[in-house]
Amino acid sequence: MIPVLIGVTFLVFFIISLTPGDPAVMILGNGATEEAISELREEMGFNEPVIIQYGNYMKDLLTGDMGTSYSTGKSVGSEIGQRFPNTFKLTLSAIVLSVMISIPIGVVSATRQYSLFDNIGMIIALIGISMPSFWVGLILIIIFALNLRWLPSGGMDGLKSLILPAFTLAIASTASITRTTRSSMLEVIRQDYIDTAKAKGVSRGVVIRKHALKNALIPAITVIGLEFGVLLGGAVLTETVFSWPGIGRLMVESIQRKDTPMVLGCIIVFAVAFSLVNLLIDILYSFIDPRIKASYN
Amino acid sequence: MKKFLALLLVLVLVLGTVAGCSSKPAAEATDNDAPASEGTDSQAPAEEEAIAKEELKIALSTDITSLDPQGHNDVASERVSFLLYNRLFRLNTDFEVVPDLAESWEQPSPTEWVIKIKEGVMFHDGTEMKASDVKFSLDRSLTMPKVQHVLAEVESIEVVDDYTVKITTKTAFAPFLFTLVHAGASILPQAYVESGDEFANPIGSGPYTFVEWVSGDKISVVKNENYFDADNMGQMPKITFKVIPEGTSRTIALETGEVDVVDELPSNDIAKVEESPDLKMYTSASTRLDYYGMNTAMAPFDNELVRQAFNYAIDKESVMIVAIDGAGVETNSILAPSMLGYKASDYTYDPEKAKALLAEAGYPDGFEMTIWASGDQRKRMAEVIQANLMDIGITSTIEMLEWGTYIDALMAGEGQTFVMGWTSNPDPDSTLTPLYYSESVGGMNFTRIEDSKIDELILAGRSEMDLDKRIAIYNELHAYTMEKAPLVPLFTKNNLVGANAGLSGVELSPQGLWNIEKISY
Amino acid sequence: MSTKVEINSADKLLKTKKRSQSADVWKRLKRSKTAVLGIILIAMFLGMAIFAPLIVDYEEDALKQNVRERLQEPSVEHIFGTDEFGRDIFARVVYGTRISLFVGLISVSIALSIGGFLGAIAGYYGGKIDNVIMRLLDVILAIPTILLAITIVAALGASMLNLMVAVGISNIPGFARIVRASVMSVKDQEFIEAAKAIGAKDHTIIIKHVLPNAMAPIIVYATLKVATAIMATASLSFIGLGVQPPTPEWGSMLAGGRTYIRDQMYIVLYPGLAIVLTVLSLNLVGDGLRDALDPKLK
Repeated sequence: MIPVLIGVTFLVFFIISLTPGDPAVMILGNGATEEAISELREEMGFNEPVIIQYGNYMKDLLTGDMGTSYSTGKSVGSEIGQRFPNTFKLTLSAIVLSVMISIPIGVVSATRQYSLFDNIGMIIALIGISMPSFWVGLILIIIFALNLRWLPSGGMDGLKSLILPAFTLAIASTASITRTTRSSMLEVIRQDYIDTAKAKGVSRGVVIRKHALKNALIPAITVIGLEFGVLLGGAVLTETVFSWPGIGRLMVESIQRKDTPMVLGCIIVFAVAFSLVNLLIDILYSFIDPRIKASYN
Repeated sequence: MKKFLALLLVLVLVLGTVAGCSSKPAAEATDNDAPASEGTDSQAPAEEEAIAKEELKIALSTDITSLDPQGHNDVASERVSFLLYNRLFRLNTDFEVVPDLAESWEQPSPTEWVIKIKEGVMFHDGTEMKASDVKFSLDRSLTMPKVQHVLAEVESIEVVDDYTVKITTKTAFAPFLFTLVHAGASILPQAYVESGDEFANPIGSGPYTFVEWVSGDKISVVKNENYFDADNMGQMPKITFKVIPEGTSRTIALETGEVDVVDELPSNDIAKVEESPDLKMYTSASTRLDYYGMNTAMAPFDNELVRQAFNYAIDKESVMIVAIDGAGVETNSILAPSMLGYKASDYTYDPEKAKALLAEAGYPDGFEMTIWASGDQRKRMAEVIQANLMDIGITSTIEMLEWGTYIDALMAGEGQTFVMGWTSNPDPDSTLTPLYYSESVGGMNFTRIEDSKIDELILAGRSEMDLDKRIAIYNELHAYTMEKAPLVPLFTKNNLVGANAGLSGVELSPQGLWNIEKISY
Repeated sequence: MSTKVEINSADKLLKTKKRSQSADVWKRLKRSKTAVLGIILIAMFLGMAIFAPLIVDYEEDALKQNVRERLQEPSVEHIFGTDEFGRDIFARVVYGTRISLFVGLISVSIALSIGGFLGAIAGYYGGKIDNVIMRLLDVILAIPTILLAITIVAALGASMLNLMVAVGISNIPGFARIVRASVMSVKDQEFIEAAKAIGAKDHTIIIKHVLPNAMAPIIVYATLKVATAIMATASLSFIGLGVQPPTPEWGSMLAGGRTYIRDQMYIVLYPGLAIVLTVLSLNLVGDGLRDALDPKLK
């Protein structure tokens, strides 16, 4: 995982270095004199080739210093540290919500394949992944915040304000996880060992729970990991629509401000979070999948 | 087959719901107001009212950029700075200069001002404000890039005694006191600033003290019980500024009671606020000029004829409708019409004349160029301008920048043309000098116009103490500058503030929401 | 002599295998009503894109501003209403089809060609080459797709070209993986050995024999990815990093219309529906193809 993350930092650093504009001017503003600007350029190493600048950045990064924001002058690390938990809260809620809805629906759909429940469920799922999240978000605000007045329209004021953004964010991933759960469940059900269990007289419910579900969940878990990454990306849009103070919105604002260290910091944090989740999934995987467990024994 | 039917069923349901939402607005308002207001009334009314009386929530459209009053030059940050800090003078809602920290003042000579501050003014940390703090703050202001232009006229500041300073200006400057009302001239405690806290926990002397700034979310302040001016104490125990960038959401937050005041209400929501019995609309004519600037140092805008052509090419009414739903006034000169000395020019919307001028300038087939803008509203304006220009054969690309970067890049002279606005202090010189004076190039003179006659007239107007003569000078300045046409003045908008009808003390000045400390339930 | 005959008949067998395979697939595809619906919808959108100039006039309706006629509700004259600049929304949605499909197809083509190339090489040669390529792609995969696209566009500047490049690049690893997996499952089969035995060059083998048999999952994946590319375009335009005005693109129409969403919902409704239907139909077709090509369901 570490070499990949290092690769990520280099890739992102390189991409961002392609941005036009003079960072020294951006930091000082143009009240500053020409000398002050060239002095700052020397001091911050902006005249060095990209590789050297990257090296310096990594050196600082290892000590936990992500630099200072070009626009506010505050430490990038502290700003991100302040706002990342908000994004994490949002994406975690969305994933939990997703899983709670999608696994049961996926399982039931599979066991009642071709029923009305299955068909409607799958259609809704398909529509779910086809709707732009910011569109859905705005509509939900109008319905639930304005017309019904059940929920706040934005900001981060306690549990109630989490519901709409989490739900909006969860729609697409719910759809995706439901479909995967259903299809892997279908595959498992057709397997021989299920027929064997049924022939032995084991009740249907037990068959599903004990034998089918565990095996069907394995591919589902992989998708959950992937969906987390999609959610991190989707957080950018949802946070904008709901005025949620997370790093998704911070990243967009920093891009508009050409605040390079902040953008860099945000992406790295996203990549690390994503990688950690995938690592977690891999570990979880090895516990659940007996084949892998066996290979470790 | 089943699957297909199911698909159809769901699609119909979805379309039906969505279509239902887009029913006629009038009907929707009346249909939903009754049940909705019943709903809010019955839902824990006591709780809501009790909380409402303790805390005032104001919605801002952007986050503040700095808690250092000398570290920013934007409206949102100013709202907070005016609550945390004081200046020597302040403006009332009629835009007259009244004393704030100043006890008394004299002008012994045309370039000297002796100001005595009130005694016993306590900073939030309990220390008393002295003249040394005043000198320190004003000196510092001159070194801070974002507000250097405010006190540019100041030559030197001397401490006369513990509570008196003497300020010497470079030339006789009639509107000098007006410069001291700006947030950039706030008085800061020297000891605090030098302590290196970097405004993480700012200390000022204002009617409210700082509690927290949750980046991207909100800023909270609480009432300062030891405020020196007993007549102007804060009314609400707590004020929270909520950052809601999405215009629609701000209005919705007002309608649901999530916020009590919306600073900068989107103009297309005026009707909603006016129709609602729980809300009240406040407007004032602003001193803000929205204009379309051209960089006179960059070809082809170094050609006067091209700039004049542009003044005939833009349909200002359309721009105004699209930008602010017409809630404003078309402007035809270098300042807002309400400002002293305004004289409208003769330009009208005349694309044929524009084309003729372009041809005369040597561009019969038009040319390509860029328009810079920042923010939603200016983007819409840029799009209208783009379409107008297309009509006279000019192709343009629109580039969007974030506000901070926008200002910095314009100061550096990098934009070719740009959509901009400027909110004036009541005295015209505070706009004329930063925008049109040759030495302001590199500062706020984004059009980079450097003309000796303009300079001459600005200086004359600045030192002329006789009112009628001053007006005459400014009239001439307006006419001459518009001939040089460094920009296309577009419109002057109205300030739009929406607030809970139960609030009193909501005041607007030509610069928008004012005297926030006076608001209460 | 006999080897040549064998090769010729092996070749013929391959060709007939492919032909009957396609007919077979098409038959099975038609069986799924939803897939057929998807195909019809996509055909409709493609038609709109290709024949757009015949349906509406670009200059007059989609671009020209008519501020007096702004924010008008859907009527006979403007069946989807007018937007905040007085432009006909129907015309803009129709032309937006061109942009969306164009950007979607090009970015997927970029991803498919580069990713497919890398995946084929990694899968075919295996070993160290495989390792290196996969590691490099892991780096790109570690960044969530939209975020990578946002970063690239942010750095290079917002334009349609950069948008296609950005979305394309962020999809490369996905295609590489699919192609690699397919190649790996095919490369050990007998007819490949046969081809190698007669001395066919590596690249010939890959192009003529390996890839065609790996087509099935690639086609399904590509279809689904065009859908996500269209979604990504809309998302990026929404935050201002996509196609620039006045070009009519569905996502930027949503972005521009969000101020008016309460009273003039149609500004946001129709472009939004267009996105949903296009993405939905691509997903339906992709799903249908997947089922039709799934050997297990034969």
